[in-house]
Amino acid sequence: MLVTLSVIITILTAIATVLFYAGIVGQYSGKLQKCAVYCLGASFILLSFLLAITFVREMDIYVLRSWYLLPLCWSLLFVSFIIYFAHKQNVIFVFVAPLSFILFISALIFLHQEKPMENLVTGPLLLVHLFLIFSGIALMGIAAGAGCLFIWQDKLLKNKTKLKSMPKNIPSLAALDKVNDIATNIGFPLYTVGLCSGFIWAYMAWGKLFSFDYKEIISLIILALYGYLFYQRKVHSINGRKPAYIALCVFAISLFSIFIVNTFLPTHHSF
Amino acid sequence: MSTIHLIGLNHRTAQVEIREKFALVEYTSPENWPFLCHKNCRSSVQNKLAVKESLILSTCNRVEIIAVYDGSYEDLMNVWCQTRGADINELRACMYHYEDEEAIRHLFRVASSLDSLVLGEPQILGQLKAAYRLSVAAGHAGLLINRLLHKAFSVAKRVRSETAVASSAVSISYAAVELAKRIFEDMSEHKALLLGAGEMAELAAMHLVQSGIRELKIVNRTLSRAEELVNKIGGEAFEFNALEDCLCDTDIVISSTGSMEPIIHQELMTRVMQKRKKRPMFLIDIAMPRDIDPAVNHLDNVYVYDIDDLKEVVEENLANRKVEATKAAQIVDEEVKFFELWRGSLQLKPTILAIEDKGKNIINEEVHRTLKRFDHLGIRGEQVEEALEKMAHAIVRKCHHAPLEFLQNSYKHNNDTQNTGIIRKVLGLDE
Repeated sequence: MLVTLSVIITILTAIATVLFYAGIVGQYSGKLQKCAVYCLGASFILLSFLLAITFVREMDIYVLRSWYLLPLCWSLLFVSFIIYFAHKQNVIFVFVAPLSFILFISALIFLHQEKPMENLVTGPLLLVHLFLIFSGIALMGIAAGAGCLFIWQDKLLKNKTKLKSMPKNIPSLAALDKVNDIATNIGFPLYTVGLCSGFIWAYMAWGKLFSFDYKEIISLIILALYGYLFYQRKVHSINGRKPAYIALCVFAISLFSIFIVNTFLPTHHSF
Repeated sequence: MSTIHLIGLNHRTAQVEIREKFALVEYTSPENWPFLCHKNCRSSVQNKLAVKESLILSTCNRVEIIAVYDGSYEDLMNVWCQTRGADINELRACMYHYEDEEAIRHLFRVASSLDSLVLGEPQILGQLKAAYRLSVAAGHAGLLINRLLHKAFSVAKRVRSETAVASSAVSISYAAVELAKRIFEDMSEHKALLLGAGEMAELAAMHLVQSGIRELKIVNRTLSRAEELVNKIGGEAFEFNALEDCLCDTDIVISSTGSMEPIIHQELMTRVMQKRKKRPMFLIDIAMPRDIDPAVNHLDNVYVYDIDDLKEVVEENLANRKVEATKAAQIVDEEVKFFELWRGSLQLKPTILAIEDKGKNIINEEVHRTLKRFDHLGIRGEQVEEALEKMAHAIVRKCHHAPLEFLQNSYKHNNDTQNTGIIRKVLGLDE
């Protein structure tokens, strides 16, 4: 049942992705994008249900690799819908939809490579750590997506060539920069608190705050870069290409951390 | 079936002087309408040409007359020339004439803006609607004109929604505003600066004002000229030495001074961008020689477009519209076929009406006769009468169903109206 549910959610996010891009390139943009939001909303509800029953039934093994990616995806959709309702920025779904799809596909791939975690590492503080850090990464993903679109559109406008190839319904540079700004302003504090809760939990579980684990080191690098972006935005009010590149860089390192460090390096997070 | 005539001249066939000479703009009521409608026929206006239906479209780029009329189009030309006091040979030299299917196609193309000077421009549809309103007010819009014009409006709507023929900017000033919208999310949150007070800059500024820009500043070497422009399009006038401060506070700059040297250079813009914390700026340079150093475009968050860049955007959009126009022409052809099919089916109408009339007569006669017999037998009452009528209607309807279907199908599939004669003979409609 859980696998079937995961497949349905993956299909829904795939449909949402196609509809969003069809809305950007073609006509009827409003209707198509509205349908895409409904699809993503449905996949978010189903995913919440899936995570809830997994949590209740299999409390001891809920932090498996696939169930590590699924909460990340849930956090991504959760923060996206909050931004969507609070700021009326449906542009975020342009990159949230494909990103969710990629995360779901990855979760399905890893489904048959389950490796349960030690009982030691499960517990309520871990949930807080996971939720906050995933929300931080999800917002980082949104900032990076907006940054990616910004860089592409900025390049076309600067070079003054191939303007025809620019889809008509793509959001303006200012809208993309605003999304990057909102995502960074909320994402960095969440990521920081999430990381701190992880260190506190590690101290409670293993008796030390920091154990020079690969995951811990890379997380601190991400925190430093994320903090730099946050600082530049807040103090120097930078905008445009620079924050777009930084957000992309931070998110790329996060993906490296999730998929490469967790899989190939000896770490507390290799589950 | 009456012929649909369309005669006219447009920007391709006639110079503006000729178009002026043959313009038909003052016709707003049945009294001064140049044609006489059959149904309004009175002895006092017998000198006018009697047509069944008519419509006059007169704009700056075209003058066209559509008339549903059994005679020759030469009569229409004569009326047109008499009305304008012009020479018929002059009209003949630059006029086009279409009949029936070609006239319908031409009208659909005009409504869809495929025949306009600027392909895809939206004004023509409004002008055609106004012309139709006048025709209705003059009592000259009958079955054909009504249906034809409504169809033309729906074809235009279909072309607009299914093709991108009217989607992108094809004027320099509009292209500038469209580009500004790519950079700024909401135009009402941004300020614009007009540097110099040239005609082109004025036009672009007017487009910006129409798009809802928050504030407009005008900087000019001659303050009085800037103030003149402020009175015309609104905003605030500044002296030239306030340029740097104004730049710090504005997001869109339109420059069109007569200066021989660049006024906005990289050094100035670096200072300005630092002061405004690198918030994006869009600079449009429509001066010749240019007012803005092209190197300014290399600065982060600064986008500089000169007249050639904007022309390229416009040309690209025009080329795109031409590609879309071929798709639009296919839609028009498709709709012309549907309209012709409907128009042809009008020929069947008298026969269909005659069949229905004959049926009604049979029902009345037979119901009356049967009721008399029932009276003799002592069977009376409203319910009996109602039941009889219902039965008679059902029988006649079923009997006529097959010939009517045969008639409609033979027209629909073979465009054949010859079978009406056979049906009329078989059912005795002409007796």
